[in-house]
Amino acid sequence: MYLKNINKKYGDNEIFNNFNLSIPDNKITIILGDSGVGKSTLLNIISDDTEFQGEIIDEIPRTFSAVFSEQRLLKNLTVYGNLDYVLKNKIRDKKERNNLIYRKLESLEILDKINDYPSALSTGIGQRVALARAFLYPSNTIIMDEPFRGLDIGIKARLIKLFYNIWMENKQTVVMVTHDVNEALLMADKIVVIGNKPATIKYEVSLNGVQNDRDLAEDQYKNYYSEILSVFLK
Amino acid sequence: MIIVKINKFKDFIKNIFWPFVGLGIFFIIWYIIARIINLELILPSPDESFKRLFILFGKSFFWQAVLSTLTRSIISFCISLVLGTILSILSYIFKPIKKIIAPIVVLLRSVPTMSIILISLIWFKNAVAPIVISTIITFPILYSGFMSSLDEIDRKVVEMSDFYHVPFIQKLLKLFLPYVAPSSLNAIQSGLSFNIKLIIAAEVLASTTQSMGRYMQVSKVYLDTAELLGWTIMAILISYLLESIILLIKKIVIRWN
Repeated sequence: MYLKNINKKYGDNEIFNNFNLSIPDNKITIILGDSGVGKSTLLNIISDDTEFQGEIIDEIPRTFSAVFSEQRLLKNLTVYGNLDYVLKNKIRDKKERNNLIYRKLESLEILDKINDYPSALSTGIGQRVALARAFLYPSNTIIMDEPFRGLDIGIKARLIKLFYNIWMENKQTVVMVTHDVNEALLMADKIVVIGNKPATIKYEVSLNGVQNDRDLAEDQYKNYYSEILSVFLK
Repeated sequence: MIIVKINKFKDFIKNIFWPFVGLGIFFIIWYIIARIINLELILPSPDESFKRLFILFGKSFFWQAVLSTLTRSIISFCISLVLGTILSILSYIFKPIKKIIAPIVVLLRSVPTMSIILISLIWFKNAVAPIVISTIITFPILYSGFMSSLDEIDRKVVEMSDFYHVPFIQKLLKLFLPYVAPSSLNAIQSGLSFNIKLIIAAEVLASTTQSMGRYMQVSKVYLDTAELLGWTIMAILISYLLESIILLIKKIVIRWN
């Protein structure tokens, strides 16, 4: 997927001016940047959720899932009901839907919460349901806007591992926005740092190796970390 | 098993026992005061009032009056309900309509109830006036209640639903209706109990034939206080019955939290 000459304005506020970005398919691309630089707007442009000028060059038709920083679950439906709510229209066969939901909840280790209402779930568990929703919905691209925001470090690390394991099954194209450099180093195949107004790419790096084997204490990750930090400090 | 029984017992104490104690205290005070005054004309004892109510139960005019008052109440409530629902949804979708209706609602809410009643009595027949009056007064209650219940719809969840292309009918049934249900039902509950009181008050002043209000007025004229209190108890029972229906609906509809 290639974003070419993207222009986007909110009133006088010019967010993008001839902005270009390539997003590799079946990889995890993580976008870092200061607040208000246009990261979320970029996600909206990619998922065709907002108007913009420019073009997106793509070889395959896209279908999108999303994980938001809030859970966005319906409070009146159970975990099962919430997942069924978005799937019903896409997977007509109830039995098949059932199976898929059970399997996904099992791999996210929350099958015991299937009949709970959102008010009974902790933030971490709620976010797992949101992840299940994104993975269950038939899509080839997942948009994630700070999905792990506000989670404790332990819960976050565990969730990232679970996410990665499930992602490996289908390897959808992932575009994710975060503030957390470590999160990016743990998860990304490609890291893009954007900054300035209008936004430009200030730093771009592709990371090798399987995410689950990464040890952030290794020198290469330490180097990436300090490089990214210095981009922010500039 | 034992814990379940203990919990059931606790629920019984909380939900049934204490309210009955409250009612009991009320009736005992009523009884004592009636005894002290010892004049049925001023304050008959509760047992006398209930006795009169039971005698009324056997009369066909009693049931006719109850039925016609109840019908009036239901008609006016339904009109307010339909108006309130349609106008609140329109106001929610089209902001100018909200701006147009806002001053009208403020006006309707601040006009003294008695002015509305007296003016309507001049303009309308005495069978219709109570309906008009309670519609005018119940509508703003429902409209405002529905407006604030529409604000309960979580816009972020709506966005999520749109992102996942959830069909409208699904959104309506699973998202919009359940989100507005709790506070809408609260508004309906308070509107309903207010409505029946207004109907009776208007019937008294309009002297509507074959109505609870009319018979209460007659009891007052003949200084038959016991019968007046009998009718009053019946009005309370109707109000309680209607509220119980709403409470039941609430219990069935709202299962989360």
